[in-house]
Amino acid sequence: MAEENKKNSEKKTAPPKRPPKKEEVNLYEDLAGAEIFENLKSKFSDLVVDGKKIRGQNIIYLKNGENLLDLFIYLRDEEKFDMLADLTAIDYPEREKRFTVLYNLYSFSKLERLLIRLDISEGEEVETVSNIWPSANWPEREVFDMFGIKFKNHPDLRRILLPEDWKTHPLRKDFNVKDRDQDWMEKHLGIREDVNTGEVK
Amino acid sequence: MDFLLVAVVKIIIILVFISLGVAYLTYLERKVIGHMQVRLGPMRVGWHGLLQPIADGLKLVIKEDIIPTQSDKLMFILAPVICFLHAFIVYTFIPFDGPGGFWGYGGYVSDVNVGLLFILAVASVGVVGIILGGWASNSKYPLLGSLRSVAQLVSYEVAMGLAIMGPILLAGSLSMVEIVKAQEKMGVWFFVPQIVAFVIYFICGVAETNRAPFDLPEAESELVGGYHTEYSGFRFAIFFLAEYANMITVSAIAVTVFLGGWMMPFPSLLKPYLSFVPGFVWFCLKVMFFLFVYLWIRATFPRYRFDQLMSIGWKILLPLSIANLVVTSFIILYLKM
Amino acid sequence: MIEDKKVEEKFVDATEELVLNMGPQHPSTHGVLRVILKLHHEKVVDLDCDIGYLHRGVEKISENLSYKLAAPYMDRLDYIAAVSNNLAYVETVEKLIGVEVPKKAQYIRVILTELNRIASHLLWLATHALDIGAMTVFLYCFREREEILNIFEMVTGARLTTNAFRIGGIPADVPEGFEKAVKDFCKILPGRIEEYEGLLTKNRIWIARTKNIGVISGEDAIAIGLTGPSLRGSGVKWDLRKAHPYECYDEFDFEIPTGKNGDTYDRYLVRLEEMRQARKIILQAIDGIPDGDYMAKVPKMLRPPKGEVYHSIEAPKGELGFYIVSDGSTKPYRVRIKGPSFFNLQALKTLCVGHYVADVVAIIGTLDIVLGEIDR
Repeated sequence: MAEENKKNSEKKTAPPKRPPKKEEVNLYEDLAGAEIFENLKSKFSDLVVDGKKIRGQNIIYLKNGENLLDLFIYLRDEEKFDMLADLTAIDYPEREKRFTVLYNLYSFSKLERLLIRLDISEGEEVETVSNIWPSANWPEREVFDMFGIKFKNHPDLRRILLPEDWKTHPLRKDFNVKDRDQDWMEKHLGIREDVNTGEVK
Repeated sequence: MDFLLVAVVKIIIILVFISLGVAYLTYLERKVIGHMQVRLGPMRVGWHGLLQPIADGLKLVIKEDIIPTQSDKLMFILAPVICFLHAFIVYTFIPFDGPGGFWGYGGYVSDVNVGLLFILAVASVGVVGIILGGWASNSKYPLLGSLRSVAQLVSYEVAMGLAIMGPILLAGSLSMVEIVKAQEKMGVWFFVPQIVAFVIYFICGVAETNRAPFDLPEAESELVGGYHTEYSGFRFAIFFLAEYANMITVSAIAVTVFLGGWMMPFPSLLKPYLSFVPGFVWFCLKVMFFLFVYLWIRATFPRYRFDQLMSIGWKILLPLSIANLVVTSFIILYLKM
Repeated sequence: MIEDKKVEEKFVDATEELVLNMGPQHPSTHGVLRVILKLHHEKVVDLDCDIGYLHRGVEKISENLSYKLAAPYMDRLDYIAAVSNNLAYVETVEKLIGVEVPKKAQYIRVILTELNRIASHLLWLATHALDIGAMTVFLYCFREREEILNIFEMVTGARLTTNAFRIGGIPADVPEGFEKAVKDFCKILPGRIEEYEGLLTKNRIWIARTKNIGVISGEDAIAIGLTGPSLRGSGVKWDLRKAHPYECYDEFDFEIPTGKNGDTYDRYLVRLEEMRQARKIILQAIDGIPDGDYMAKVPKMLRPPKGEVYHSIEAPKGELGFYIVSDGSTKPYRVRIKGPSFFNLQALKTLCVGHYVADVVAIIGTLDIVLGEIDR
């Protein structure tokens, strides 16, 4: 941390004409050797792809598979990650596997947090974890709402924040922040906007 | 002819008096509760907001009259009228002053020998207005509100009626004037020998008038507004007036039956100095004391839940009032023997 | 006989469940929450929450803003605890770029955040009590909240959405008179809390309305994702200030109050005690504000290295976390807001089924939700 501070201050004290080329700082460390990572790797070698550590936070990279739920049940029962603190997704349109579903697990007995990244491609369905952690119910609905990722066997997969007959998935990267579902607006509000100017017609 | 004229004049006086009283009761409520809640209450209209009730009334009267399209229109219009009418009919029988009061004309419109019974009967009919109002609105919240209110009023009326039986036994009459006279004769107000009945009556009175903590029919936090959710403007004002008139009624009955009506307190002490004060002033002071306690309760307590309210009514108040009635009758029997 | 059967059928039809729509315009849904209740008489059989009426797309908006510009938007999430929101976001970015905040700024951050916790709990108590019918408590609580807002105004210039902190510290030193104002407030607070307790804690009606209402066990609460006072009411002694101390919370001495039964009454007691503990922290911090800088050196245009970071703080309503993915540019690649209210509200169905309509109101109150944070 101190190094970075120094770097920042150096940059400030000597303002160059052109911004200096920023050195690529790699924050990620390898997780190999960590207990939880090794445990998972030995038990679910077909799912676990990689493990990283960033700013003291363990991240496990997974790929989708048949026994995904077994892994989560193992995490809950054996590793005592008893709360699913959050579930969300990230969109990388340029990647082959477009989406990353991110599980944020917390263990009350170990006071430890674990992030799990699961990469999936567009249209691929993920098994729901709402039977394992009931708290996943709404976040999965939100991910479905915002990214269009479908969760298999989810008890109630409806849109949660946006209207149910809305078409687009706003948190995808190809969705402009100014876009709205114009058809929906015309149907329900009777207006149509100009996408560029925001003028109401 | 003379008798009729006197009656009409009295009716007009009482009507105006009560209407004004109701209007200023809302002012009192806002002021008292305001000060209890570290704020000032109305301050803008008139000196210390004294004209506020008039401004409010004016606002309600000139508002657009809205009748929901899906409602039962006839019933919708009729409901507030029923409520209002019965709230005011009751005042015919309430003795504001003794027979010699009002400069010899008698401090009441009429003294019927079944007065108390009649008052209870008439007051109960007002419930019909509430039910109709909730039902005619054709909306779920008012319906729930009015259903609650029926259940509440019916169950509390029983305990209330039985509580009043105690003093009636002591007085030996149902006439309001006779009850007060009996207290004069006995030398002690009925709330002393009938303290249990008094407490029961008071609690039931709070429930009867839908006041906090028993204001479930119009619990604004759950049912938005209760039975009058769909009402606005003048019709709402009528409901509102009826409710506050009921508050005064319940207090007036309590004063008459338990607190010696128009009589002055501590007559042996105060009579030499305060004999010039007319009876209805004492009466009004006592009523105002009751109203103040109502407001005080409202500012202090949270609201009961519906099932809790019912269980208090049926499981505590009703057995207590029956026991009180039985004990009182045995004591009277014993004394007579 | 046929006639009888018809009558019977009609009777069965007539007693079907009543679907009651509560909200989005309802006095006690605390904003624009819509709850669709299925009632049998007055008992709740099933319910469904309809949220999203306040959805503004804060996550999407912040993807299109630079790191510093996104910060004020976070105040608008839980507008009742704006300072906490700001703190959570600012700390997450600090963790991402690896900046250490000067001690002085940390102390002032703690003071403001704890004041905000008291303000948030006061507003919760006010509305919760009003929902149950205790009107006076509502106004008493607003009286004290006003004092806190005055302090906020003094420090930040704003009362509600304060944007109190900056990445790397605080925007300016605290003004003169700040210490006195905070100490004055701390002096009056215990008496005022006793006033609320006098009106509520031993009040039979209050106990009847809150005891054994919305009971949830510790395990269930964890499974459904409850955090904050709602979780502690169920007896789980877990507070991020103790479990993963951020800022300088490890330097202060305070207790984590917990309940036993996990009902509305216990959650009420927990929050009241939390106000007292927050006052304790403030008093320790205000005496110990060190001298020195209040702002770390942070470049004008933030360009965090590639990476991702999750950081959460103990907001008044529970665990408030931010998950920020950086792709090395000036704008965050993804900002995820883990709001406590979103997860707490999820428990509403579990808590409400089997209770009366009036209890639904009490339970919505006890969960202490803010729709701005749920809908984002």
